[in-house]
Amino acid sequence: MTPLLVLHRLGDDRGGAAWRDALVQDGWHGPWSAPDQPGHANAPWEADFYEPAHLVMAPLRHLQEIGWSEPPVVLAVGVQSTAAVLLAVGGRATAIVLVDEPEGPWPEAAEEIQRAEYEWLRVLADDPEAQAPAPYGRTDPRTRHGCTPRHDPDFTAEQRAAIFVPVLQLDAASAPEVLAAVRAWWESQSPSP
Amino acid sequence: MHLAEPDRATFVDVNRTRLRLWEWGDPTAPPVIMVHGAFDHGRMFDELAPRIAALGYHAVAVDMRGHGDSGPLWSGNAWLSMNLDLGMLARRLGSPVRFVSHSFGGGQALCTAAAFPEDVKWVVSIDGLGPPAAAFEMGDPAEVTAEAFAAIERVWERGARQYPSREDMAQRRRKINVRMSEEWAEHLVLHGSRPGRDGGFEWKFDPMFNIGLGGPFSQEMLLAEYHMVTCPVLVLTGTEPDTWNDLSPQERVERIAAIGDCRHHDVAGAGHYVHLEQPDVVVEHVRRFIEEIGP
Repeated sequence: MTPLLVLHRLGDDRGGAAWRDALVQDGWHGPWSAPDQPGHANAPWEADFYEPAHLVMAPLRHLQEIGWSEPPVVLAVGVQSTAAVLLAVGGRATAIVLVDEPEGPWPEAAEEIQRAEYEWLRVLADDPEAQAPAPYGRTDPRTRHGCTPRHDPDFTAEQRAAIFVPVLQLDAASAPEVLAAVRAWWESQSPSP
Repeated sequence: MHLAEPDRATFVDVNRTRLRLWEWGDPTAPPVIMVHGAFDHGRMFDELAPRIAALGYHAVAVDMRGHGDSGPLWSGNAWLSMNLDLGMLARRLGSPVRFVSHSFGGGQALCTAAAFPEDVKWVVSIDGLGPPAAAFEMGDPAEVTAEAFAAIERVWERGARQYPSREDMAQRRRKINVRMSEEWAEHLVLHGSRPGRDGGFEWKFDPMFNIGLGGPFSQEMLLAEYHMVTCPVLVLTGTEPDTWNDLSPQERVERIAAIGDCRHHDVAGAGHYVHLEQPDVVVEHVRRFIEEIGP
């Protein structure tokens, strides 16, 4: 069975624990992994920020270390969707499941995008906790400021057009409900021999 | 070429990284942060910095994140991290600060001035108006992303590229930066390299710096960024064709016009490294700029 990689929501105080519990309870067949992302639970902080290009580094490294024989289905929650999209575009996912993908509204004019991004930088600069060394064993305070608001609709459209693997989009639901939906969807995508 | 050692070599912890600082002049004088270009380091200001200090400033040349002796990168998409590093460094040194910057560092200084306007008094940008618009075109996303992933994994597996000797590194550098003197290439290698594996040498810059995953950026966004720079800016560019000074005249005019309070001077007899080739002229332009707008 195709492996499953779960990228938990940015800022989830339990890291990937809720997903690991749900996968065990579900008796998920096949290999799976739901690691704590950097700055969450027991994973040390490593990222510069929490922006798309940074979010994808940890799962990329994880996939390299875990050495699955085929690219996984990547299930990503919230802003981690951007990492899942990059993995799909770069040929490192067999399919992606985007749960609660952020929908904006995003600033669209170039000056608005820049202004929003600089405001985000100033908020990070002015938050002493976000500047202090990242704590170990609890959620990094930097995550509360989310990702950079840089979002260009043309770029996103171009990126989405480069995804050639199945994509499932789901709204907020509990981990067990999501897993049930993913199983049903993935079985429908993979005809029995 | 005789270059004195910096007055002080220190480190500062900001924005969850450690930055190496090379300092000249009175530490209580108004700070000028000197920002090098991509793949370089703070010691490239060994000639210019003491002369900026002599104008009455605390000249602080920084090794940017992922360069020289400073902290490593997490990913090649480090532009914003570096902006925040500079904003936090400005506050640590005592804002408002001034910037003297080169190439990639010029872009960083302008971006920091736009993001933290209250922390930046003026900017001198030496051939730092960014690459030609064509460089912002991303290409096929699937190809770009797959290549970047492969390159990232290579860095994780193999680390930095190794060179047999520092002489070899200097020669290679001069093949790229064809106008750079032998002395300067050797100086940049001496302070920008370290012993590597198997008796070889490697550049200090983080090999991850070279690997970008692409992102939403365009000429339009660059101009929007420049529109938001409100402090006085002096742009210096060399007149001679050179590697990495490949903006068309029209692009240059457009970018200079986007910065509200900007003056521009061409420097004869210099290519991309204007401050290495014509330091006297650069210092004179900076002196006049300060005379015009105040310290």
